[in-house]
Amino acid sequence: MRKQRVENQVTEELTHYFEQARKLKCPPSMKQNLYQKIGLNQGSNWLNSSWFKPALAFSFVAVFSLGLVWQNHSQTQQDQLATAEKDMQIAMHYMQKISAKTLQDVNTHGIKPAIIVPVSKSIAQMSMAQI
Amino acid sequence: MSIWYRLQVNQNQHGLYALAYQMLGNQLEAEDVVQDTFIKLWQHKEGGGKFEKAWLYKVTRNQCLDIIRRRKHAYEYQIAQAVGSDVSPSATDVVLNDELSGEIGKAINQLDEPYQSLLVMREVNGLSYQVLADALDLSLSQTKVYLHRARKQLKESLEKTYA
Repeated sequence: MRKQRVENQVTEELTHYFEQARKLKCPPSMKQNLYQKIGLNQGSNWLNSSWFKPALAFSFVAVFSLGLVWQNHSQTQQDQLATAEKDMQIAMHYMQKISAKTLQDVNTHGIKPAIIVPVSKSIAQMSMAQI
Repeated sequence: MSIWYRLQVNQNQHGLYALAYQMLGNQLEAEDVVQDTFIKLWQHKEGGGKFEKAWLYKVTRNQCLDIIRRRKHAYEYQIAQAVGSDVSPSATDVVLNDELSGEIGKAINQLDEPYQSLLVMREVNGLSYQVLADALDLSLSQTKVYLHRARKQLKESLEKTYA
């Protein structure tokens, strides 16, 4: 009976002791001194790292190049749209002229160069500009 | 490297500190041991060495054993100096344990090696049998047997104290 009680007491105290030991924390001074010794500053490690500055420079160049390419691309698109609009206006002008004529005055050979070619050309250009 | 290193420090500092403190019974020495272990890890990784968790515990334990050995030499020197004098420090107080109070702390410190390290690494650090075996260069079955003996010895020692 007494032996059992002692065993229980030992088990309980050991459990408690190990629980307390697990809660033990290493003082923060250890980490601070360690980083100082090996030259790792806690706060500014990103700025001081060897790859950060080249990576930053590369990012700037990449963003700048992308901006130039994008500007060039949108300028080309605007030029194409303007040309297509101009062609469309010419085509509309001829359409109006032809619609004013009677059917007898119009023949297939006359319409082709005057209307079909400018209209198809301008529509093709507009669709190219949309892409 | 530095991010990985910081992660290792954050993950293992408290466990290593608990081990060192249990073995040495002194906070300042435990802190120094943990710091030296992490400096060794930095040098080890810079040299391209392979890292495992067991490696950290092995290095910490070896450093603690060195300190205990040095303390024993210092104690023997003190004894030699104190021959003929009435005052002689107790071996338990001087060699093994200067801060850990209580019967359990003393009983753990009086366990032989590798029982003491195994018990602390298992019960306090919660390491697996495999990590324990790797850290102490033992086989898995040896680890289990030694751990069983360590628990038994500790309980017997405490039961004698409390009886």
